[in-house]
Amino acid sequence: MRPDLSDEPLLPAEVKLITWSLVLGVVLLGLLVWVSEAFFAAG
Amino acid sequence: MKASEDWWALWIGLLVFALSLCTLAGRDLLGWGVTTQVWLSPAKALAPVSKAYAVLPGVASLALTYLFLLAVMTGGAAALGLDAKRFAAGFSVILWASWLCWLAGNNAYVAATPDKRAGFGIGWSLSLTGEAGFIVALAAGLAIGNFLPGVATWLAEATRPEWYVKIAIVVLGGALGVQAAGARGLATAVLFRGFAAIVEAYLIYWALVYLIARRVFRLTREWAAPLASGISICGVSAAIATAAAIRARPVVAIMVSSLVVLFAVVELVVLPFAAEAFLVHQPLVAGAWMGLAVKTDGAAVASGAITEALLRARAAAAGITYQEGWMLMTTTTVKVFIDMFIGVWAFVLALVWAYGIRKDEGRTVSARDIWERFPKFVLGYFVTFTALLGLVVTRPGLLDAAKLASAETNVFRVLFFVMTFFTIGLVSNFAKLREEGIGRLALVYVVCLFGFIVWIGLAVSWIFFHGMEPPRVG
Repeated sequence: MRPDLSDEPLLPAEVKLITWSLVLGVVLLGLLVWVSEAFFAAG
Repeated sequence: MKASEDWWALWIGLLVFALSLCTLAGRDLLGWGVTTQVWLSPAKALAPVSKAYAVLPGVASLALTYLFLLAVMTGGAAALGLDAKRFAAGFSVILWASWLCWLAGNNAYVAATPDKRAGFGIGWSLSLTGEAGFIVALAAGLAIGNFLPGVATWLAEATRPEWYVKIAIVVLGGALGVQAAGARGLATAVLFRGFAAIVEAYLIYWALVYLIARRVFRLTREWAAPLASGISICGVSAAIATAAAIRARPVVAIMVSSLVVLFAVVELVVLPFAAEAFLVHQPLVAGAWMGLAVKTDGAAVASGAITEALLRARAAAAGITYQEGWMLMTTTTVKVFIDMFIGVWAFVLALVWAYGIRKDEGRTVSARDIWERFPKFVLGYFVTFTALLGLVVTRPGLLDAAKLASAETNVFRVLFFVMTFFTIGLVSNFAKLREEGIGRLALVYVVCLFGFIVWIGLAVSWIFFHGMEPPRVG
């Protein structure tokens, strides 16, 4: 069973999914690091 | 109730946990379980875990442990609809072979740390600790899986690494709960930071892998989405859940899952030693990294166990004794959070595919879909963890009994871990990589996994866990 190659263009829904996922990831990174340091200190 | 490996991992794990809890009421029901100690003379390798059974010979303890597990697991296999006779035969071989590997790994020349050599009267050792038995079991499983395929096929009914590791994780929760009670601040920090790490990993990993699979390797959506989930999230379960969510053909999930299993073994062999080389001063970063980078529950938790053994041995050589279990706890925490969110992510993908890509008419995606894909054994982990944590915190007088209970469950946790390693080896047939048609998928897998998944996992682990250490003993 050979995986299909594609001429399927990226649909707007796929672009949105990828973009939102990455943007949310970056934004949440800052927020979660702050919460970790402020409320769940390592020491 | 639907019989599934997931549910039966939960029930069996809880059964072992419940039996161990009888120590809290002064009844020692599992104290006959066998522990295998570091040894020079095989006669001294075995002993019952509890002093209450000290008169029991080690071999009798081992036989009782085998019979108990055979009965429980065969019962579970029958409930799952497996061929009970074939399972019992295969399970017996797997258990004994795994235990022999564990015994070999506990030989003093292999396992003894530098501070223990004098006690054994030996001048050198590999200092791998008893967890070297995991590596021996993996090597033995790989040898059988690749060079004796007939034997591997005969054992197939009982070759269930995911089932074994899920039971082990349920049982592990209780032991970690007792430990966490002694360092609640650290345990809470590990839990939250583990959660934070996987949120990041999900959002960044999946999108990047999907984008590369679609744009660079020109895979169709049907192949790209399960592959992205398999590489980026948690292997087989995620690939299968995603394939179902987007209504891909079954063959897609099967091929992606094959790759996941094969590469998980590569990671299992490589990454713990990389962690030992570069993260010896960041033990919890190393633990989290295994959880984020190594796919499949079995291989990830196994990697955490090896990493902990290697790093604790290195620390011991430098005169630092870390309390056991914290690195493994970090790996397990990250892994169970990942598992918890597979259902949620599959739900999101089902929505996107239903309403944004296929635009299905009348297609509805319900919260029930999330529950059906939720890994039930994760509930067991949290139940056992919080039960013993809460118990010891609220009633400190029960600490010794709780420690005995966790020592008794640890007997079974270790055996399930060793069987996980052995059976991962059994199912890993590297010849599959050469099969026509899987090459392109394998290429995407290698590029994404070693190109950025492993490194982003390391970066995320570093961000959330650097500077954290397990409590020191002494």
